[in-house]
Amino acid sequence: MPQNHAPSKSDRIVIVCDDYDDLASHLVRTGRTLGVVVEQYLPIEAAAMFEVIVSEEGGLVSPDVPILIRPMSQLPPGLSEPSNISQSDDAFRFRESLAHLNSVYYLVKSTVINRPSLARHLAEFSGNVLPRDDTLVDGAEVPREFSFHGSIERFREWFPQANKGNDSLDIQRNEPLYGAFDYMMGTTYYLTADRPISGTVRLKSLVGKHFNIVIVVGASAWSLAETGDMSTMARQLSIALVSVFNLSFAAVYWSVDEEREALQLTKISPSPSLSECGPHADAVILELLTVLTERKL
Amino acid sequence: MIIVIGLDSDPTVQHFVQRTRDTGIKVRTINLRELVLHGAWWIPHLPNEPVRLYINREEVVLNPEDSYYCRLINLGDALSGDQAKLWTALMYGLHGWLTQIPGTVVNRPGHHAHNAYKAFHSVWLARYGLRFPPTIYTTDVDVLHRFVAAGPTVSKAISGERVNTAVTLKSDLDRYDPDSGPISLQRQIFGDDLRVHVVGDTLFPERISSSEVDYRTADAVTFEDVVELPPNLRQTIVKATKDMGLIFCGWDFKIDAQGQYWCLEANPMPGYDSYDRRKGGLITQSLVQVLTSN
Repeated sequence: MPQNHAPSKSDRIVIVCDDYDDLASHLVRTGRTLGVVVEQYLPIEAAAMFEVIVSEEGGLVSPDVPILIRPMSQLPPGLSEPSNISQSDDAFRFRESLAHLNSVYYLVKSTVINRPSLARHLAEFSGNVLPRDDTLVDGAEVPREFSFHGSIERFREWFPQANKGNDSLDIQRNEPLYGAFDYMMGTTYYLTADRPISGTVRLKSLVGKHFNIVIVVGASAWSLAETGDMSTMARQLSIALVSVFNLSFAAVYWSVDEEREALQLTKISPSPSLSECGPHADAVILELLTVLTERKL
Repeated sequence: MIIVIGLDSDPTVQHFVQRTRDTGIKVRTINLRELVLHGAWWIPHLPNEPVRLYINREEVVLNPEDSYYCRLINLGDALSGDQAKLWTALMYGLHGWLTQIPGTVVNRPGHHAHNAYKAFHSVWLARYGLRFPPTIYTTDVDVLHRFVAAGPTVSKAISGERVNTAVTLKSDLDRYDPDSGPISLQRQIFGDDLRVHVVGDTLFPERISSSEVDYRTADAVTFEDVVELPPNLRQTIVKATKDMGLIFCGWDFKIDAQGQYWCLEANPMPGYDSYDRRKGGLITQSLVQVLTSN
């Protein structure tokens, strides 16, 4: 990074988010009770607020305030369809605003959760961090992951040689278990003999049908599964993993095989929702405020 | 053999394929549009397994050790419904695989996407000692007016959008509505343009003279091969290109009356075909050399 990011104590926090972000709303309410001003802005509003000056001294962002970046699932009025986004003047303005905000996130000196990082660009696409074998930590198994489009019957017909000595197309009949995300339906399911691969899906191997979600904020972590050795291990691994990806707030999803005491990473979500935080929501919110303000609250 | 992954309608892809075939090198093209509309795919996301594609009842196996020239353009951004979802699915898979495979990949996705965020892009590159024109990004009308009053000014895109650079006067700002979002104003540098394509350690510089502030909009343009660049500039942009994880990069500069080089940007996926035509295909030859050297 070209600049040192020296966080300073602040009583003002900016959240860039949608109108309907429960976690952001919770943060605003909690901040109010603790004397921290938490301001919520839509991306276009936030882009209009920040100024960046690039000179020989580098990039200067004002106002220099801590920022929490939230996922953008809601588009501005009139931009509800992707086809509109690419064609209208509003769409151009929207893309320019997002580009401006990305520079702000990189360059502002105050704390940013989660500040974009060049290392993450290599591993990240479509909002989730892809597990890469060279960036994982000891103790975390790497899932096999595939993208598929077609139907298994047609694939066998097209590629008869693929059935000889290559069982990758028979994964629903073999260990390990595979979970599938269907792009068209937006649903997830387990592959079985009765429900083979079909359509447009993303597949991930799983070590079992038990899951654990760990919410990480900085060096703190909360496990949504029962306490125990596996849970402690999941928390420790999650903190280490999140650090590898330069994240300071994330939900880390684990597939758990309790018999084998195995944990397999399935997903790292850099923008956990309030519901993902489960019963730990209050503690997570307080820790977020602490990290952003650099104050013990 | 070189595998080309891109759109059949992309003129840069068309140029690369034609020029490469002219050199006698075998090229296998993967047309993304055809794949989405009529094909099927099996793409592992770990880099040690091959991709299997089906296009027109033909199986195409992409091996991790092979050499690729790719221009992944997501047409899903301009579509809706199932077509957009299909593009998203394909891009997710290819992006993940091509980012990590050990083979040589020109325009490898995932590397230093900050060209799309111009303020950060220039600050990141300035750490190499490259000089950038002062630039502001704001909606503050007073700040914009003061910047314009302080000297000749041009407006530019904030993102990676293709927007022509234009001279900006006080009268232009009078029409500016802050509700339309932030704009970017840059101090105008008078002088010729310089485009340098970097392929590994090899440079292909071209000096461009025109009467317009943006030579891409000019009727009369003069192109001149540059024999020599300052050695420190050569070393700097070769190193910065490598540090960005790129084999191929298109650098834009202005050269002022004092002979100073002002960097404007580094394009991580250059549309280089028109420059290559003027150089008789030397840029493609160099790309082919890199792609066939393993």
